[in-house]
Amino acid sequence: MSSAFVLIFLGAIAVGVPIVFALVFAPLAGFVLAEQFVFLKVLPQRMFAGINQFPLLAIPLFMLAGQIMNVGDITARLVRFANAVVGHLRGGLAHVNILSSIMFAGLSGSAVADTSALGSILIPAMERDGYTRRFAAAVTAASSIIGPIIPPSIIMIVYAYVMQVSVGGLFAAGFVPGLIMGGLLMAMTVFLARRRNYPKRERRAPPAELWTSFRGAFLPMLTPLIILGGILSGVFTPTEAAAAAVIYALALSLFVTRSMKLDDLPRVLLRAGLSSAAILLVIGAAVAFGWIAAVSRIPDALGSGLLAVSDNKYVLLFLINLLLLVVGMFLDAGPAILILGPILAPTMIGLGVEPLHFAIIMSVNLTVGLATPPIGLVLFVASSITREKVEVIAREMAPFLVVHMFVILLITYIPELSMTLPRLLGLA
Amino acid sequence: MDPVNRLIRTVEAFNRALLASCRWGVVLLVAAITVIVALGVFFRFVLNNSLPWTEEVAKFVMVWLAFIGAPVVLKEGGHIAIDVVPTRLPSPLGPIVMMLVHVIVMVVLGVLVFQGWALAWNALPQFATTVDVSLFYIFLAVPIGSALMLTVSLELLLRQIAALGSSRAPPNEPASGAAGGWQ
Repeated sequence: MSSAFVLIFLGAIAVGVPIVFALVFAPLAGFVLAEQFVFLKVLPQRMFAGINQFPLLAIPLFMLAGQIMNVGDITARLVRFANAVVGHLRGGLAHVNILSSIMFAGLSGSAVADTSALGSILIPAMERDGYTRRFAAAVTAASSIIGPIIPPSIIMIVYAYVMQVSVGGLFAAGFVPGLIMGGLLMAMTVFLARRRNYPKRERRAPPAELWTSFRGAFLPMLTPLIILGGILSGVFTPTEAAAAAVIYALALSLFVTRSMKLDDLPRVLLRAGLSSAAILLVIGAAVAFGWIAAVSRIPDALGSGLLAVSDNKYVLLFLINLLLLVVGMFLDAGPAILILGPILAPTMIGLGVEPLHFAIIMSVNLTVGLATPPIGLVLFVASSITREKVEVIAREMAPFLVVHMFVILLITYIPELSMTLPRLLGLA
Repeated sequence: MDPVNRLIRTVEAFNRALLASCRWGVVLLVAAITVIVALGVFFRFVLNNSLPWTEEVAKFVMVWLAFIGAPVVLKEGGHIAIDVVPTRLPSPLGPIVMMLVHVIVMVVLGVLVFQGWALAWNALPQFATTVDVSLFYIFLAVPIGSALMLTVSLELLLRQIAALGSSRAPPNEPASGAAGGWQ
C-alpha cells in the first residue's frame, strides 16, 4: 500500500474525526482504494491483539487507585501537610499547590486527575486568601504537569508498551525530572510572589501542627513507596503493583480515614473504567495503524527524512522538541506518543540517544502539551473548575510555561538527570 | 412531530437503555480486573502457589472493558478529536462537516462489526490456553462494542441533521470529563 493513508489520516483528523477512529479509517480507506479487501480483517485482529496485553492491565488499576484517593479526603490531608511545610513562605498557598502536586504525583498517574483533585480544594482556598482566580487556576494547571512525570504514570505505561522499554526503568527515570520541575516552579513562584506581594500564613506552623499533619499524610504517602519499591525491587510487575496500590488505597479510605463509603464505589469504578476504555481503544487502533504503517515502511521513510534535515543528535533533539511542542498544542499526550513514538524513537536511538532518555524527553514534552493552548485537557479541566476562559488561564500561565520549557531543555541536554537513577538500579 | 424527530426519540430511548447496561458492565468489569489480578498476587506471594489462569482471564476482561466502555465514552463526547475546523466554520458548512465526521465514524464501525464478527466466528473452534472457553466469546467484544458505538453515532448523526433544519445547536450530553482522565 502507498503512503496515501498518512494523508488520509491527517485529513480525517483535520476535519474533526476522533483520533481513535481516524487511526482505523486511514488504513481502511487505503485498503479500499487499493482494492485489497482481504486485508480489512487485519484491522479488528490487530486492535484486539493490541489491547489483549498483560502490561496494559496496569492502566485501569492505576486509574482506579488514583480515583479512590481522589474521593477520600486523602487529597485534603496532603494539602494540610504541604500547608504546614511551606505555607509560611510568601505566596504560601501557591507553594502549597505545587508541593501538593509533587506528593499527589506519587499516588496518581494523571495530570487531569491532579488538576481536578487539587484544583477543587486549593482554587477556592487561594481565592479566599486574596489570589486572583485565574492565577490560582494557572498554578494548579502548571503544577499538575508533574503528575505523570513522577511515577506512577499512565502516559509512561503507554510509552513503555508501544516502544518496548521497561516500565520500571521509565518510572525511575522520571523521578528526578519531576522533582526538578516542582522545584523550579516553586522558584518561579518565589519571584512572582515577591513582585506581586502575594499573601502568606501569619507565622510558621508550630511543631505540633507539623507533626499532626505529617501523621495524617504519612499513610497515603507510603503508596509511592509500595508501588516503586515493589516494581524496582522486582517483587511486583507494574500491573501487580497497580493492583496492590488499589487494595492499599481502598483499605486506607474505607477503614483508616473512613472518607469513602461503599456507596461511592460504583461511581469510582465507572470513572476509572471509562477513562481506561477510552485509552485502551486508542491503543488498539494505534497498534493496527502502526502495524500497517510499519509494513508500508513509513517510519523508515520519515526517519530518513529526519536524518536528511540533520544528523547531529543535539540539533535533531532540539528540532524534535519544537515539533513535539507544536504537536502538543493540538494533540493530547497519549495519541501523540502512540503515533510519533515509533517514528521518532528508533531514529534518535540510532544516533546514540539512550532509549529511556528519549522516552523521558518525549513524555515530559507531551505532558507539558496538556497545558498549552489552544487544546489541552489540563487547561480545559482548570477552566471548567474556575469558569475562567482557557485563553485567560493560558496567559496567566506564561511564566510557568517558561519554566516548563527550561526543564525540557535541561532534561534533553543533561541525560544524567534522567539516567542516573535507572542506572543505579540496574535498569538501563 | 416530524419523522426525523420521532426517529431520534426512538434511537435515543434504545441507546439510553443500552448505555445504562454498559455503565453497569464497566463497573463490574473493572471490579473483576481488580479482584482477578489481586487474586493472582495473593496466590503467588502468600500461598506460594500461582493460579495459572489469572493473567489470561484478566486480559480478556480488559478487552471487554475497552469495547463496552467505548460506546459510553462516544456518547459523552469523550473520544478526543480536534474539532477546531468544524466548530469555527460558518453555519451550513460546519454542521455538514460534522455530519461527514459522523458518517466516517459509522463506516469505520460498520467494517469493525462485520470483520470483527468474522474474526470471532472463525475463532469458534479455538480455545483459551488456561480456561475452557472458546475464543469466540473473547473476540465477540469487538463486533458487539462496535455495534453499540454504531447506534450511538447514528443518534449523533440524526441529531446533527435535525439541528440543521431547526438552526439550534444539537443537544448533547455534557461530557463527564472522565474519558480523558488518564492523561
